[in-house]
Amino acid sequence: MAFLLWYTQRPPTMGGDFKLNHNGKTWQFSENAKKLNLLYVGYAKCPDVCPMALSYSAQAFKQLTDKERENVQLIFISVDAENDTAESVSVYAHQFNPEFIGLTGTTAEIDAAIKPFGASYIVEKDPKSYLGYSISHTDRVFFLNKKGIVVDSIQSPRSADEITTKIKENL
Amino acid sequence: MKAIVLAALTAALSPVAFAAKSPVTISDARIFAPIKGTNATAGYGVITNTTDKEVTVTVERIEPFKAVEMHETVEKDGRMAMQKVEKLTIPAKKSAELKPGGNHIMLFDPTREVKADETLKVSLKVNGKVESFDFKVIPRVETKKEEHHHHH
Repeated sequence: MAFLLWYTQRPPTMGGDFKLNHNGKTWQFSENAKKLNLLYVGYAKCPDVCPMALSYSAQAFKQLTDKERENVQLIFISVDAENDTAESVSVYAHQFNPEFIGLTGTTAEIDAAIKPFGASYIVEKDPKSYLGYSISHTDRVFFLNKKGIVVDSIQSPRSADEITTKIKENL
Repeated sequence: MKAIVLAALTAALSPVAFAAKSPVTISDARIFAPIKGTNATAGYGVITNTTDKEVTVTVERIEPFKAVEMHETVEKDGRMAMQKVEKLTIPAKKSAELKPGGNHIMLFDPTREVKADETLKVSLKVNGKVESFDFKVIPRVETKKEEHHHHH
């Protein structure tokens, strides 16, 4: 009875292992996981929410102790399969912090990787815009444990301090 | 003679003296330095309408970028989306803030390297008239200068 109660009332488990392309090579989460892993889903040509989330995260990493920083990494998944290459996403993420990992893949690989986290995106044609398209996407920093399970998250991160606090809480 | 000099001075100064003052002021005007791996960056600031009439503002040109647009970040079905904003309408004595997660200027494809600490001339059309405003280029990631500790 107690088991049944626990089973029916347990929080949903999100996340898991995934693999994508990092700089031309396969990158498997389970082979590279740290104690705490931040995950953000976006695209490199996003001018507003993605670079803000990444720069707030980079500032947060600077506020950690060396010991804390050893146990945490940030993974940026670009969902722009058509315009971002594995190399360009890696370079992009790296500039915010040398420890940030930029990944991408084919549409099928990206979809398979982000689905377990409840993240989603829609590519929308925008002929009036110079880019010709925009991508609406989940704006959330997920905090994953070593197994890739979501232990916490921040919707639309708007400050470095908020991210620092969550990292320290979950380390 | 004095009268002639005075007349000449007045004529020379008059375009300045009687130039129409811009209906808007901009504070905290900033553009993030472009980074590798993307061709897009963003600009923000607070545009204040100092007049007692509504003003419209559109973004025209920012050298050395090939294209500039005003966009708005909006939440659609739990996702963040962007939509183009044709013009900003600012009511009398009010401000419009261009900020992360809201209205912002998008800048695409710089034709030369744009570095932090540069000042860029931003052409805005205010009530149909093109005016130039200074925007400061700032780094994407704050690079705090290392503190120097002197050991004795």
